[in-house]
Parts: sequence; structure tokens; C-alpha cells
Amino acid sequence: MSATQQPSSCQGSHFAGICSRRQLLQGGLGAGLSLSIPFWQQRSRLQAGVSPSRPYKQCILLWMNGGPSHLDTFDPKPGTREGGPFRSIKTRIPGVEISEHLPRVAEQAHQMAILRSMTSKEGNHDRGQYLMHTGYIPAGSFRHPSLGAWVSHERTDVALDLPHFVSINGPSIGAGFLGVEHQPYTVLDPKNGMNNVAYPKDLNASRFSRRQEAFAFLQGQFQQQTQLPAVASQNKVYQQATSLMHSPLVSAFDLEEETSQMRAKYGEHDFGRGCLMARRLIESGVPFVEVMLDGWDTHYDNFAAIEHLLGLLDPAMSTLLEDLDQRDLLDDTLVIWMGEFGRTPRISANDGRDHYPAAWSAVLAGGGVRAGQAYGATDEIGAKVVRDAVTVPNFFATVATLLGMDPDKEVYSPQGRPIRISDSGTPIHSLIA
Amino acid sequence: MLGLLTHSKSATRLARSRCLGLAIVSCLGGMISISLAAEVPSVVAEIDQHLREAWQNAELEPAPPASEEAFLRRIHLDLTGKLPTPEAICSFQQDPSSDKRAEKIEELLASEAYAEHWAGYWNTQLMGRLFRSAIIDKDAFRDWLQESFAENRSWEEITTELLTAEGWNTLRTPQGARRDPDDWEARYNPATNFFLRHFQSIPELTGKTSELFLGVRIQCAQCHDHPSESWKQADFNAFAANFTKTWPNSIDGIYVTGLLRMDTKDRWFSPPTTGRLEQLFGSYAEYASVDPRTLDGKSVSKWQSRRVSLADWITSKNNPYFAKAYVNRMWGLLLGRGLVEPIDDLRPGNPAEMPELFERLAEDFKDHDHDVRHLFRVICQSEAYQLACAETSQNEGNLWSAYPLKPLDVEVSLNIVLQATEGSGLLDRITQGKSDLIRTAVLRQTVVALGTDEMAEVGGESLTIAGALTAMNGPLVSGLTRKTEGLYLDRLLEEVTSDRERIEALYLQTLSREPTASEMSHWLQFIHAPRQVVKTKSEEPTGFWARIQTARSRMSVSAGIRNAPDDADFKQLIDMAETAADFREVAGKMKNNADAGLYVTALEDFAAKEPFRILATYSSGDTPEAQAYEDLFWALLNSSEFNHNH
Repeated sequence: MSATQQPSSCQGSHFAGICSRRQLLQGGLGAGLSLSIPFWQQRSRLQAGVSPSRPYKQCILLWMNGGPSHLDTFDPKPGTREGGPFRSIKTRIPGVEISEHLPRVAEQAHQMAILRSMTSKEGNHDRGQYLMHTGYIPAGSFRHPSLGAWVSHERTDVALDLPHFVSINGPSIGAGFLGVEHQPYTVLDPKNGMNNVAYPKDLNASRFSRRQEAFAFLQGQFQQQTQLPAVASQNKVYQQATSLMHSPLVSAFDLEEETSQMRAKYGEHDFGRGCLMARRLIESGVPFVEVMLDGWDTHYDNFAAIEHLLGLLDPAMSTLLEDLDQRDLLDDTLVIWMGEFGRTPRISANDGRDHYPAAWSAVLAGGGVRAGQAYGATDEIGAKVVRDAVTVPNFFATVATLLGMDPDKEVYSPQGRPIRISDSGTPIHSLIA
Repeated sequence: MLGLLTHSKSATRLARSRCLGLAIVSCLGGMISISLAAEVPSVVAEIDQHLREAWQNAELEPAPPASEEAFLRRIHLDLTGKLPTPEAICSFQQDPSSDKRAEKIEELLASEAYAEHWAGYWNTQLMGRLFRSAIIDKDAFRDWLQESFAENRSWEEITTELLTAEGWNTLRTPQGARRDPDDWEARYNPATNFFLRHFQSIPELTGKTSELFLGVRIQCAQCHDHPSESWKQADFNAFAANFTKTWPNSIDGIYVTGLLRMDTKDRWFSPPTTGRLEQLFGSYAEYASVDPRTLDGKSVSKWQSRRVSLADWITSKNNPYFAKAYVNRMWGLLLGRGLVEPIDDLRPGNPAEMPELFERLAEDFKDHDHDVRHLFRVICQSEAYQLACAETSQNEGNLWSAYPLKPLDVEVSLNIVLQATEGSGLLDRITQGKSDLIRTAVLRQTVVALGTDEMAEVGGESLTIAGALTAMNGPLVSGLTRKTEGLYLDRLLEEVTSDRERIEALYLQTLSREPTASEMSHWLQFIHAPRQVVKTKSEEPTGFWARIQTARSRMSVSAGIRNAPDDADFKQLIDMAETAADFREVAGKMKNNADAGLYVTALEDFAAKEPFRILATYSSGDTPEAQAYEDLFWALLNSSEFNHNH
């Protein structure tokens, strides 16, 4: 990496004052960058809001951490003891109703396939979260890649300064044996955007360049002494990080660039902001974005907790679908809503619902989904799947197919073990348009 | 000024004078090194013989022996998770003894840092890094592990205790508890916390047990039979059944604050899994009625606790996996790659790379009654451990013909950053002595920022873009490499005037070696190159009035929390808290366990952010020279040489 190429408006001025990321970016844009990646091609879409037809499918996973109650969201059973106090409302899918606390999502139902027949065996959070991220049951220290890492791995055609897998509000599950470069980049606080991309205090571009030079010298010495390829790969990661610092695409993480009306529409809370950031990242070409909404582990006071959560989910999810559609991004962006399992139909003495993996719901939207249907069904109290059960392997095979990946493709782990994207699943064709 | 050197003006000179004139005093945590008899286990020669034959057969030219400095850094990092101090490096160099490497191994194995480091490693494996739970006394468990390593309890003893422990998990009384158990202190056993960590998922407990103590992954058999695997679903279920008659009970209701006191007991019957208990014991149901067996298919004794029978079978010298699992793991950790890879996959279809060496090591470990320190001695004195970390295209490090480049655990990375910068004192001051809290917080932040799973190993090998950004621009490294009072660089620049000596001291402090001549001349040039002092404006309010303003509004927040009505929403109070004073007020408002949970989470988050915020406000030195040294120090801490064991 040539340190003399560091772009910045602050360069050469020791009276530079605050050198915020924003200035860095604006300066960078005007300063005629000589970065290796033609980011401006991707930049234009973000600026102009137009979407040229993209060569690849993208995905947003809305991850409902803790296990969302299917009965109180997408598979309501009003009028039964198990169904609880919530009523149900009509959606834009004829004959399909969902919880009364999702009115705006109901308006977007025509974009969705509501899967009411998810079924698995993992009723423990850690294991269920692993299963529903990777498609596999946990197996000791062997680490399966999560869906985002698969997408990052398969998207070799994406040339982008930004990470290929971004996880907002939570850490997701890692890339497993696929390796570091497919690990999620985690944003824990969407208000702050990307961390550590601005120069620390009392640093400017020229001083940063000196640091880079000093670093490069040390790396060179060590490389010479050890002859190890690992040193070169560390250099590569540093180089990527440095490009990212100076890339205008970093602004995809900056919600301040959106109007206050837009921010309000998604919701001024972490999940709303996360969804808005997800839309910006999709526009910038990031192939996989996960946004977490935590708090679904409703063992106590299920209904109050869920009403609160749906108040966050409803504007964010509906605005996301609407916004993606208006920007012509929805056809190529698969949106998944799910958690690790459902909740017991029986309402406990604590007015809560406990873990329930036998029957639960997930939602697929956009991205080539045969939308406007409820797929599968549970019995009258949401306890058993009675039609078109969706197993985890089949679910992952379907999602992989929708994302343009071959579910049967095998990738060898470093130990030579063949691993497929889906654990011997078959795509469900009636979910694919 | 903190830590003023009294013997000499120069850090290096100090080390020298000690080496030359004074009795050799080890600087490891102030421990005086008594001359420990160095011991070379007889098996080492056999191991070396196996290695040499293997290299010869594969026509590999092994790397040259590691230099003294390289060995010293390596052994310190492996055994204690810390860097050797400059003083230790110097005295090691000056030590004329021919078996000083063996002596050093003994010295470190006897140190407190060894027990702390390996307790930390096993704590991560057994419990994971970041979980929070009201039924687990994490500190008590970790202390128990540390004590076990400090007393060199055998691996057999440690394993048996982990698998069979009964009794109360903690000695802490929760707030609001109505009474203490009668047998509380008599039946206190912190090792039960391992069981408590996993019993809510019997498959998890079963999997952890087989993976950590036997090096086999029977979890794969949990859901389906696989034609090529040795164990079927039925074997998994029968193995899992060993845990189903052990379950905990508590004397504390849920409306207490703090840790619940849990009593783990082996019983004659399985727990009820209906109603409210389904949540807790639901995973027992599937295995409770299965006939318990060990992995060789034998039924366990019906006349004693199932777990005792299981532990007897696991730790028996006839068990084909137990010794090998431990030996393989240690070989892998110390030499970069297990004899069998992955290190916990010893199934028959996955042969060892050097089967005879593996057998011999395992036999020797059994012959020494699973002596943990003995195995360290053997591996660390083997030729493989003594080679330089220098691959050639000819050997590519195959068959351990070169020492590997090993990533560091996050704990060790944090240790050595704090050690090199002398940042611990400063962090202690910022957090008013609560640096443990910070440690957890920093680890949490690192692990989460790297996007890694809780239980997985985290290290430099998994350097991500986020990790590189944090190392480059994050407040920890960029803050602690400043010339700020109380930090190493300030001390160095104030007390040492010669640039050569400064550069030499920086190298010893970080890379544990002296710079080469060409490195020295490069850095002299770097330091003396003309540069302008860089000062950026702080974004924090700095003026006098701004500070007064902030202080005023802060006081009203604290007061607001203090005066909040009793029925105020606890979550809202927590959201208001922004300073340590606010949190003290919030602590007084906790009403139940749920509040305590929210409080601990919020306080940890606060503890994670606050010191970083303060560190980020530290200014750079005022002179071009000071800033040049900061840049050099920063580069050293970012370098691959610093961030690996090699």
C-alpha cells in the first residue's frame, strides 16, 4: 500500500481542526482519489437513488432474537384460550389474517409469503440460534458458516470496499470455516454508524501516513524473518481497513444523511435505525445485512412485551418493504423475518409463553418469492403443523435457491470435510416465483 | 510520577545493571525466583527421536533453533499469557547456566500467572466468555480452576470434580434472601457451576463432556445416524442419559437480587418436566428413560450415581480417549496444530499425523498420573518447541519442522497491550479500581466487534477489518500509546534521553528483543525526520463554562434518579444514568432480580464505553519528537510480530 495515496481534506494543514469522518469523506470525494476499486460506480446508485439491474441477489435477515411467538404475530388463533387477548386483522392476502398490532405490515402482505409451518427440534436459545443461522445443529468446535457468510463467500463477483456481511444490533453467528473475510461486520449502535473509521484525536492524514509507513516497515522486517504468508494476509486486512476508512461508501452507515421524515417513518429506535441502515447498505451493494430485534424471550408478561415489540417491528418492517419496492430494490432483495423458534400455545402462570420449536412462523418477502400466500398451517391452537411442514434443511435450501446459490454445492472445510449450504434439503418450489 | 525508576535513569540500563551487578531477581509479579531444579523428562528424547525420523523420512530440513529471546517470549506467552519483562529478558540472556530453558519452564510453571492463564483458558472452554446468568457464580468457578492449576491437581482429578460435583455453587447471599441453607458452607462446591452452565440443555452438557474430556464429537449423532461415524443416535442418547438423574434446586425465590444459590445433587429419579419446570428441565425428558451407557456401549453401574460411574469410565487409564484428548489439545495449543485435527475429533476414522509419537505421549501422560505440569515440561522441551518460527519453502512447517505463527487469544492480546503500555494503572484510576469490570467489558466488546461466537476461540488469525480498524484507530491502542502521564511512553521519554536507548527499550518492551542494526538506523531516521506537531480540536466541551454546565446538569440527573418515586420504571432510570454517580443512585432503586439483571447489563455497557471515551480524549505529546515516538510505539503494537506468538 502506498502511504502517499491517503486522501483527505486535512492533508498538509496542521490547522486542520476537527477532522471528522464526514470531512474526510467529503474531502475524499473532491480530492481525486486513487483507490484501486472503482467505488464511484456503486456510489452513483446511492446518490441518485436509481438502481441499475444488479448482477446479484441481496438479502436482509430480520432476526427476532429470543424466539418470537407465532400465535401473537403471523399465525394468530383468535377466540381460542391459547390465542391470547390479541385480535387479528385482514391483510392484503385474501383470507390471511395476522396480529392486530401489525397493521402496516398487513398492508405489505402482498409482498410476502408467510410460512406457518416451520418446525425444528432445538428449544434452547444458543442451539436454536445456531441452527437458524447456519442450517446445522451445533457440532462441538466445528463451526458452520451462517447464511450471511455463505452469501459473502458465494458473491465472488462483488467488488466493494464495504464488508459483504453486516450485522446490526447484534453479532450474528460467524463465518465458521469459511474464514475471516466472511465474518460479519457488527454495528452495535446504528446511531454511531461505523466505528473507528475516523482518525483518532491529534491525527491527520499526514500523520496517519507516517504510522502506515512505520507499520509497513515492521511488517516487512517480520515477513523477511519468518517467510510466512500469514503476515501478508494481515497486511491485506489492514489495507482493506485503510481503504474503508477513506471510502465514500462508509457514508452508507451514516443515517444522518437521511431526512428526519424518513428516519421517523422507520422508527427512532435501534431496530428502526437498523432497518434504515440495511436499506442504505443494500443500495450500496452489500450482499447480506442482518438486523436484530431482541426481547422475544417472553416467559413473563408475554402480551405486554409483544405489543411493545410489534410497535417497533410494524413501522420498521413495513417501511423497509415499501422503501425497497419504491427504489426498485425489492425484486432482487430477499427479506427474511424469523427467530430461533416459536412459543408455547399454552399460556403459563406467569402470563408468559415458553420455548416451542415444534411449530412456528417465518416470513419471506421480495427477492423472487412467490408472494401473496400463507404457506403451511398449524392446528387450531398453533401446536402442531398440519399442512406442508417446512423443515430447517428445506427452508435453507429454499432461501439458497432464492439467493441464486446452489443448495447442494459442497465446500470443503480445512479438514477436508464437505459441507453443503443446506443440510441435504430440497427447495420448496411453491415458495419460488 | 508513577513507577519512577530509582536505580537508573534508563529502563535498559536498569535491566543491564541488574543483570550484571545484582542478584537475579525475577520480575514476574514480584516473585523471587528460587532456583528450581530443572527436570528433563526422559520421554523428551524419545519424542525428539520420532520427530527427527519423521523429518528425515519426509526429507524436511527443520528450521534452525529459536534464539534465546524468541524462546523466552514464546514460553512466557504460552505458560503465563504475558510478555517477559525487559528485566527478565536481560537476566535470561546473562544467565550462564546450560539448562536455563528448563529452569525457566519450571519457574513459570510455579508462577501465579501460569495458574491464572490456564484457569482462564479452561474457563473459556468450559463456560464460554460472555454469558450472564443468575444461577452461576463465575468468579467462584474461576477461582476454583485457578486453585486447581496452582496446586497442580491432576487432569483426572479436575475432570472428576467437574463431572461429579454436588453441592452449593456460591457463598454469596442474595439480597432479600429469607434464610440460609443449613448445609451451606459444608456443601459448598464451586465446581458445580460447570453443571449449572449446561444442564438446561442435556445435549449441550453431553456434547461439552465428550468434546472436552474425550476429544470426540458425539453431537453429530444427536440428530441422525451417519454411515461413516462410529456413534449412532442411540449411543448419543445412552450417553446423555448419564446426566438425567442430576439436577439442581434452589432455596432462593426469584424475587431476590444477585446470585441464586443452587444445590446440585445426584438423585434416584429424574426431575419433573411438566408445568413451570418444563422450561428448566424440558431437555431431560427425551433421555430420562434411556438406559445409560458409556461410549463403548457398556451399561453404567446401577449401584452408584450415574455421573460417578461415568467419570470413573472417562478418567480410567483404560479409556482410549481421555489421555489422548488432553495431550492432543495441549500439543495443538503449544505447537499450533494438533497431532489429530480438529483437536476434538479423535474418532477412529481420523488418524493422527504421527501416530507413534501420539501413543508415546499419551502413555507417558498416563504413567505420570495425568500430571498437567509434566506434559508442559515434555512438550516445551521437545525439539519441535525449540525451533525458530521460520518456514522455508522446503519445510513449510510440515510435521512441526518449524515453530508456528500463533494468534493470541483476546485475553492475552489485552494483557500484553496493557503490559507494554503500562496501561493497567491508568485504567484502574479511570474506573476507580474496578478494572475487572472493564476487562469483561473490553472482552465483550472485542468478541462482539469481531463477530465471533462466544465459545469459539478468538485470536489474531481471525483479524477482521473491524479488528484492524479497532487496533489502528480505537481508543485502547491509540490512547495508551500516547505520551501521557502514568503511561509507559511518558516514563520512557522523561527518563531516558538517548534515542538509541529509547528505541532499544521500546523493542524490549513490545517485541521482547533488541532491534537489529538496520532497524535501529531506520527508526533513528524516522524519529529525526522533520514533522509538524498535529493537534486537532476536541469535540468535547472543554471551556470552563461548558464544564460547569455539564456538571450542573449531571447533578440534576443523579438527584432526579435519587428522588424518583418508588414505582418509577426501573428501565427508565437506567436509561437516564450516564455517570458512575448516576449508577450508584440507580443501584439503590433495584427491587428484584429482573432489575438487577438490567442493572448489571447497563453497568457493564457503561464500563465498556466510559474508559474508552476518556482514553479517546487524551492528547498527543507536544513536540515532534514525542509524536514520532507515539507513532513508533503505535506501529509496534499493531505489528504482526507483537500480535502473535512465534
